[in-house]
Amino acid sequence: MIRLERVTKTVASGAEQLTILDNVDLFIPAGQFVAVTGASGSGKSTLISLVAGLDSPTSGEVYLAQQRISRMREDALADLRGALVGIVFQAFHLIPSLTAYENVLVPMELADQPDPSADARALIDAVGLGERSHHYPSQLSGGEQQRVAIARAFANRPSILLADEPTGNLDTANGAKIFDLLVRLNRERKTTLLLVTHEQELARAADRRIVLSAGRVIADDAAAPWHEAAT
Amino acid sequence: MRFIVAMAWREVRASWRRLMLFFLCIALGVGATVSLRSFTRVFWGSLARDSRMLLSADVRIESGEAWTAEQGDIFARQSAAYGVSGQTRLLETQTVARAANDPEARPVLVELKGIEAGFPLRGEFRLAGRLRYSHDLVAGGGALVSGSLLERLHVGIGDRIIVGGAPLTVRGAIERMPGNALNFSPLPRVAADYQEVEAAGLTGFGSRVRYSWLFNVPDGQERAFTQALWSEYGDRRIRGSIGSFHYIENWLSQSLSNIDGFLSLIGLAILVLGGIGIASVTRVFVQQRVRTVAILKSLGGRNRRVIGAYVALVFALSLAGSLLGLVVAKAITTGFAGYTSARLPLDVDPRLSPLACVQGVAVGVLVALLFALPPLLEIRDVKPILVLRQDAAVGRRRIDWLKIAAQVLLAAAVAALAGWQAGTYRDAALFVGAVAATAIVLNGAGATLMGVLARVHRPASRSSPQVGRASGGRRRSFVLRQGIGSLHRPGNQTRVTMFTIGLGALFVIAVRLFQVNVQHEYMLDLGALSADMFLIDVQPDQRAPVEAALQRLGATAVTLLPLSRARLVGLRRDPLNPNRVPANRIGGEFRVTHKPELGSNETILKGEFWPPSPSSRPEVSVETGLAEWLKLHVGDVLVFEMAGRRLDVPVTSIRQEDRRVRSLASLVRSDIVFRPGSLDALPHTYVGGARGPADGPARARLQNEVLAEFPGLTLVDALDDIEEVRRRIDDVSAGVSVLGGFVLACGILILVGAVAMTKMQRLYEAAVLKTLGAKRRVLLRITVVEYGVLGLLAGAIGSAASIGVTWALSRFGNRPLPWALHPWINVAGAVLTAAVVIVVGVLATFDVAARKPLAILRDT
Repeated sequence: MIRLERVTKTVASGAEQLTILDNVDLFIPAGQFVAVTGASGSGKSTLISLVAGLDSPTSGEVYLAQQRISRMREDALADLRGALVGIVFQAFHLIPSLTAYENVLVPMELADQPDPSADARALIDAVGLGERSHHYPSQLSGGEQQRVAIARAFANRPSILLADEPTGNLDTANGAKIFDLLVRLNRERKTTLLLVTHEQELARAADRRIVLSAGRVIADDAAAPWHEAAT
Repeated sequence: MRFIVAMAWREVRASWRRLMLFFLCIALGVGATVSLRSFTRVFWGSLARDSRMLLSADVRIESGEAWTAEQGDIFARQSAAYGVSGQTRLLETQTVARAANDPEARPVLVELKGIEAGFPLRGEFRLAGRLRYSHDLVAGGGALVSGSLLERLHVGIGDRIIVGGAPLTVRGAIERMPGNALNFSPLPRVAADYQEVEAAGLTGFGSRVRYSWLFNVPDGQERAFTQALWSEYGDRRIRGSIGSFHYIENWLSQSLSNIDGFLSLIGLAILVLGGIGIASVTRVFVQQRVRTVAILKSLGGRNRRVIGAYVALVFALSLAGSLLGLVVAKAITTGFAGYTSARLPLDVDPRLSPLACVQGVAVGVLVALLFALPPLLEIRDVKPILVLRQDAAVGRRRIDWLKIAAQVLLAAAVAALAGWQAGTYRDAALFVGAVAATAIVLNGAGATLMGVLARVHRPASRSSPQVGRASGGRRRSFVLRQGIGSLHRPGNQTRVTMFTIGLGALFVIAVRLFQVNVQHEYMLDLGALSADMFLIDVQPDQRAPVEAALQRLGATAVTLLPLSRARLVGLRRDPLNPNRVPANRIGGEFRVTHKPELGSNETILKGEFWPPSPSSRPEVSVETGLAEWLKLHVGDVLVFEMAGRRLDVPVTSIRQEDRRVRSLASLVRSDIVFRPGSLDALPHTYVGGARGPADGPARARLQNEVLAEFPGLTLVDALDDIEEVRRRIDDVSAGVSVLGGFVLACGILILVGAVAMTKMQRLYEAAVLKTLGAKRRVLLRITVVEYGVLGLLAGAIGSAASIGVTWALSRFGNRPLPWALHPWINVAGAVLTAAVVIVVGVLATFDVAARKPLAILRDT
């Protein structure tokens, strides 16, 4: 489902080149729940951004559902994201000028779904915000905003769900609820979930754990068999 | 499509307050453009409809002399040939009217019109109190007079007045009289019976009478009839003027071309200013929506669809703004129509032209889309990675061909619109060229400023690391460094802001320069007039006693000039003058005078004016209008017949006389001036002027005593007429100022938009500075430094450019416009631009400084 081949990402920092990801190989099959952990600056978010096609690698290739996305044009990447990928961000990233319901509706409208209203309502209800669907993000708590973001991520029935520190901006109790919701929906909809977190507690719930350090994969409890299977 | 429409609607709903500026720019631009176009169309339509009324006939023949039997024969023959359906005569002269029974009332100079029973051939004689006009009202010693005359003479309907010595009974008050199109004289009108005016001796020697013969001609025959009359006049060397109502249209068109040129410029300026305002607002809006755009892209939004949503937003707003603009246009047009109808002999309909409305809305939407397009294209540069990395810069393409194409399209469209608005592509090319040059200079200046400041600022920062310490000297330095630093820090808006402010200043100051130049054209320094009383028919033996009486009764600056009549019977050209004119231009009678020195309102254009000493060898100075009519050069010889004597007089100078108060100046004016010494032996009377006492009773006493002592003399008090002229000039100035005010309003909107562009950036900086301990006062002072530098530089460049733009349009434009340098306007324009920018910046910063820093830091 997700495949990275010798992916390296460097960025310029003043006159120097900084390596964020260093020669990473990775394969994640469909339906797997993978947690990526590591210290700050280890390259976790960069990994997610490359998988989502939000950024391109400096070298190496990224494949998503058998499609090489690392050299795709921006509009093609947008189409791919709209069709295959749902993303949950640490900072929620709801559109402030839209209500909770409209935020969920937008990906469906972008994908030209014929009658998205009912689906959007169902998703809002599924995350427990049916009563607050007409509220704007600024009128919702952090936990509520993240629930809307999760509903939005599932809007187009994606086969891949990417979550970048989804509980990072929430307190422990709210974080736990959001994580449970994410995992429940993931199981129900059978999506491939790539979760980036620095909380070992959450990572333990995953099918597979990958540890990054200084841009390299230093631990992958199922790396070798999956990779061999793929190749 | 569903997404595009839904997203556009949601953005309007969420941001309508922020987009109000956009909305206002469109509404104001469309309102002004539609009203100007509608007004021009309706005005010219009224002119075409009423031009026959303005002439009171289809064809009018004028002469400075009484009709001859020969002329009567010509008119009869041609009338029969062309099937003329009606004809009548009229005569016009200026004379003095007095109240018959009120010796205290001051005499008033009036325009007396002698009319026959057939008058008017076209149009309607409109009288006060819904009195229906018939010739019976003026027959048998009756008179119809302007309402203003009733007030000034303190008389009413039924009272008797003395007009030029003839007693008349007032039988009605004139509201509108046909046939006054070519006469915007401030003097009150008096209409009386033609025969009675002639019989009263008002057309005798020394009188300045204009005789007119009016005809109604079958439709379409006017030009042919006029041509036939011209032909006969030419064959028989008869002098006079012949014109159809078409001439009225042309004459008024030419007379109003300066105003029309000014209106076109206003339309252009508002159009482009509105566009710049839209570009500013859109740019700010896009900057505010960068995160939203990144989110949409991360959710699967293609560039085309995201841009489409914002284009739809611009379209909806511009359409709504344009429709509001029509409401604004209706209000403006109604006001203008009332204003104009009250001041011109025309009924101007206040309706909006449907074509102008459609064009206005189309132009409003087009301008909005075109100017919004370059900032909207920046959406393409927003990378979806921004949702993960806030520090990721918005990408920039090395060469963005699409953006370049959009800018070229914008320039071409503005040029096309400018040409359409100005009615000439030559003006449009000049206009767009000048604006483009200014834009390049502004861009260059912005880049240079940033470069220079960065270089100057760097060592200061290194040498003073402890910025922000509490000592007064240090704080000033901190404020200065922060203010200047804001102009060149990464992510600053210096170039864009300077570009916008500079162009805004250019348009506002350019329109102001045109406004002042156009107003000056209609302006006259009434305070500098040497006389406010005029004397006519002073006999030679009365000269000294009249002068003495005037001085005794408080008049000053008494000047009397001799006036003789001379018939021009021939013209001998200088060998170097190849010009020729039709024979009928020679043969007329002229009033001639002599004087030793030029008047203060006269300038020599060619040749030399004689020394003050008298000479028996005659020579003349000819006014430039007459010189052009006869195509004279210095050295030509005019052959006059004066009191039976032939006099060959060389032209030694051609002079220009400032005649902006024609109706008053004509009382004592002569186109041909002789050198003193050569006219002494000829019969002559004296005319002249004096400045009367300012005090009302003393003024009335002077007039009444002079008239009692010298009964044959005509003394005209022009004070009220000068006031009337002043009022009319004020009217024109007020109208022009209202239009200039529109441009100013647009300019201020743009400044607000330009400053608002930088607000987002300052929000964050202000929050950081506040958390570090900066007080609101410090933030405001930083703003003053930042915007002071920006406003002054942009204002100075815009102001300097306005000189070039106005000069180029005046000098090389399709319609030559008056132009003069007014340095104080340019200096004031630059300073005011800086002041407005500072004020707007400070007001915006108040809001920024008042917000809690935590909320801002959290949001960003």
